[in-house]
This record gives sequence, C-alpha cells and structure tokens, in this order.
Amino acid sequence: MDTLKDLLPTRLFEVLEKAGICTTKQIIILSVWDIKKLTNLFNDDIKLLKNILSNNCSPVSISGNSLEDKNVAVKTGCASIDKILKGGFRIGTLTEMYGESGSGKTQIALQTAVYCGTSGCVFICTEDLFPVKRFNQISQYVWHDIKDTECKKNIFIEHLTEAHELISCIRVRLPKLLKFNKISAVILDSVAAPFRCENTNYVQRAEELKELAILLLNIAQEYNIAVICINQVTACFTGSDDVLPTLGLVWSNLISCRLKLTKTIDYRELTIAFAPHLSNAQGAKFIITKNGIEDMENILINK
Amino acid sequence: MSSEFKIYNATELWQIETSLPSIPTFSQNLDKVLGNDGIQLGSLTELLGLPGSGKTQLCLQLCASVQVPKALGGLNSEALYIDTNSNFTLSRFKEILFSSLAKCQRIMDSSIPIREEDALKKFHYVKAIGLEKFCAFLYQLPNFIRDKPNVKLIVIDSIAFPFKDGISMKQRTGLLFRLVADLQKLTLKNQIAVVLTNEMTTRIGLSTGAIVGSLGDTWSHRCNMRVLLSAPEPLENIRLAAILKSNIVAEDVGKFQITHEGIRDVQ
Repeated sequence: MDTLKDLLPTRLFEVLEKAGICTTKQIIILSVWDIKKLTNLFNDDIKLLKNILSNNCSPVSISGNSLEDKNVAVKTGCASIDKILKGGFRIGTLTEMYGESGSGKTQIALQTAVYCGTSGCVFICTEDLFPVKRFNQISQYVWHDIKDTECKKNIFIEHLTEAHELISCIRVRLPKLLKFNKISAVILDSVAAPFRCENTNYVQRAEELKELAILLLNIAQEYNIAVICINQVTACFTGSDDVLPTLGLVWSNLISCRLKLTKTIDYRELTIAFAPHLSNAQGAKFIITKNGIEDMENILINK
Repeated sequence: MSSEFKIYNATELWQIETSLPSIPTFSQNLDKVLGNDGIQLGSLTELLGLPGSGKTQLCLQLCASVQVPKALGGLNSEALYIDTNSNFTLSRFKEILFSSLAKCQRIMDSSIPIREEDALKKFHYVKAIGLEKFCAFLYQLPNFIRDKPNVKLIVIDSIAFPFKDGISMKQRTGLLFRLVADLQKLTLKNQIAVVLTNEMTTRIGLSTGAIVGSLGDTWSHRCNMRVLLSAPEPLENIRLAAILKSNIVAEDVGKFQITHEGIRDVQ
C-alpha cells in the first residue's frame, strides 16, 4: 500500500500533514468543502488530491467473460449437504448456521474443520471448550494415521468469551496468523454467546457486530477464506412454535448465507433460509454417527 | 464548474423519456406495477427488503434484461454491477443470463445463436467492499462511463453496506447525498438506470421498534422509486413488490416468483 507521501506532490503532502490528515480514506470521504476548511487549499488542488488517491485505490471493473467462476467451496464432507450448498461453504463471504441446541451445528463445523485437512482451519470457541476427543474421532475416520497427524498441524483453536476479546482476536491476532499459515476456513462457534450475555445496550451491540462482521468479511475476501458463524435461537413472539436466529436484524444484514438446522426423532435436516446463489427448494437430511455426519440415504441403503 | 441551463419544453422531455425502452423484469405483473414496462432509464430506483426477499435476484435479472435484443424491443446494452456486500456469485448470474437469453431466442424463433461469451462481455462487475473502495470507484465512475458508453444500467448492491464501515451518522448523510448527487448527474445526462438495494433496520427514536429502510429518514425521499420486496411464505418462491414511492405510478403491489431461471410471473 502506497502511503500518502509516495503518491502526492510534496507541497500538497506537507499541507495535509500540517492539517492532520494522514490517510487516503479521509481525503476520499471528506467533501471538498471540509478539506478546504482544514487545509485552505484551492479547489483545483483538492480535486487533484481526490483524483490521484481515488485512482490509486479504486477497484477495477472486470467484464463477465473474464470473471473466474471460482466454484471453490469449503466442503462439509457430508454429500447431501455439500450437494445443496453447491460444493460447500462459499469462500470470501460470511455463512451462518443456526438451530436449537443439539441440532448438529457444532458437529457440522467440526467435520468441516476435519475436511479442511492441510488447507488449514481456525476454530474459535466461545461457549464450551473445543471438543478434542470428538474432533480426533472424526479426523481419524477421515484421514487415518499419518495424514491425520499432518492435518492436525493445520488447525488453530482459540477459546474466548467476551465480545471485545473476540473483536481484538479477529483484528490483531488472526491477520498475524494468516501471514504465515494457509487457512481455508474460519469457524466461529458461536457468534451469539459473546453478544448475548452482556447488557441490553442494543445500539452498542449493533456497532460491535458490524465491526466484527466487517473485519471477518475483509479477511475472507483478502485471504479467500470461508467464514462460518454458528448462531443460537430465540423464541418467536408471534405465537408459532418456530424459532428465530438471535442477534437481530443487524446481524442478519451482515451475513450472506443463512442455514437452518432442525432435529427430528429420526434424523436432522439442514435447510437454506436465504442465500443468493442457492435454491431453497430442498433440505439435506443427515444423521450423526461415530464417524461424523452422514447422509441419511446411505444408512438406509446399507441397512 | 460550468452551470449550463437548458430549458426543455414538454414535448422534448416526452421525446427523451419515451425514446428508449425500459428494462423489463421478465415478470409482466411486476413490469406493469413498476409502470413504463420496467425500470425507466435515467431513474433512481431503491429496492428495500429483509434478507432473502429477492433484492439481489432482481438486480441480477435486470443485468440480464438490459441485454434483450432490439428486435424484441430491448435495449441491447450493458450493465455495471457494483458489489459492496459479497452477495454476487457468477454461477447464479450465468444461470439467469443464459435462461433470459434462451427465452428471447425462443420468442424470436431465431437461428442465430447468441454466444455466451459475447453476453458475458456485456456485463461489468466491480468488487467495491469497504467505504474507501466504494467512494473511490464512484469518483472514477465518469471515466468508466466515458469508456463504456453502452452501459445503460448501474446496480449498487447494496448502498447501505459501505456505510457500516466506521463513519459517524453526520458524516454518513453528507457523504451519501454527495455520492448520489454526482451519480444522478451522470446517469441523467447519459440516460442510465440506477438500481440500489437497501436493507431494513429497526427504528430508534420516533416510532421505536418499527422496521424501516436503513440510511435514515432523509434518504427515504431521495430515490424516484422505492420498492419494498417481501416473501409472504418463508420457504416459497413467491415474492411481493410494494411500490412505496414513485413519481410515475400509483402505489400498488406486484407479485412474482424467483425460479432457477430468474424472475418470472407466478403461474
């Protein structure tokens, strides 16, 4: 990233420095009038500044035929789920899984972490401790022995409980980790816990959620990572038995894809609540076994 | 800053307004409700809705619709999609684009195939995630339009997302209105349709708790047309489009569905 000093003619840079403007963002966002008030530069100079800087950091348009059809997705390892997700969790964006306790959210997350293998995975726990035994059980079944040990070297686990700890971890520690390690998925189990126990200052919570989501999205875009957030449920006040995901409309607007997990007596089901690239026609039925998550069809056939 | 004022008479204005067709949504019901058989060039339309209501889907459909051949009364033009929230996927756009073109070919009964690669060339995509990149691109937009004069639709999905990026409310209003003023100047001059998607938020202050469009009360007056999309049945594909504000049609509600082909009428 070029600094202001590199990009601008010296005399303009010096005026800006004196006025206390030191980032490209400030110049791009402030109006001509605001900059004039701070620096006393002529309009032409200010327009020149804006031109140089916006030229430098503006994204370039790509035409449709040059766009890469990056169908790379982080798979869950369960065929029926991966099928309706068109490959798995989409990279470069935030996906949320929500459901009642015991519906299988952590299990799917664990299996996804296992299938990341040597591509690397970051798993952040905010509720219980990371279930090492269960992870090992699935990993052993999927990879067997030597490969298993190799893959385990690429999973990074963190446990925190407070919202400010989480934001600080994503803002500071995660980029440092990503500089030296290849990661293909960041799993947050759960995003709800740090934000639900605190005070009912919803405005502050909204600001923190926005900050967290923007940080995660930027990381997902820059490092081509799939971010998977697990959410809890809250009761629906309109009288039906339905449950709603927590964290409100603010959080719902920050995610790109929302998946719902439900549990019945015989099986569990994953349905698509919304996703711009997926059809919500069918759900994927699965069961949880000692080997991980398996298609319900497979088990029925094998019986 | 030159201030040229041209005074038009009503006939000239009418000729300008009717000289080019609108961009159809591929749902006749929705086109009728929008008035003018679709999205009018030179207009500023805002699509509001809860997550999953179909805003991005409608935007993708319009990017495909702008390519309808002149033989069918279409614009045969290009579209620019400004992505600020990572909701765009090429696979879904291709699905909608190729289905729409196939439908056109069936109607035209044409033996000349429309090449997929040519169709994709008429679609321009910009990833402008973050306020800085978004503002920088909009600042450079006049250059883009000058280089690509055949662009007749600009989609911004969404206009609300960049402003979550750590900016004070006061600064936000000023910046947003400046950006849209420049955008509108450019699109009126070049007869380009602009479609923006906006999010819903819970209101604090007057009528606390109401679900309204985000970006504030002043913003709600800004666009020529405001359309509220909603999904009456959660797992169904049927959507309703309520015209909240329009300068050309009465308030009405349109009905359409989202299929794997894109936006279509409900059967």
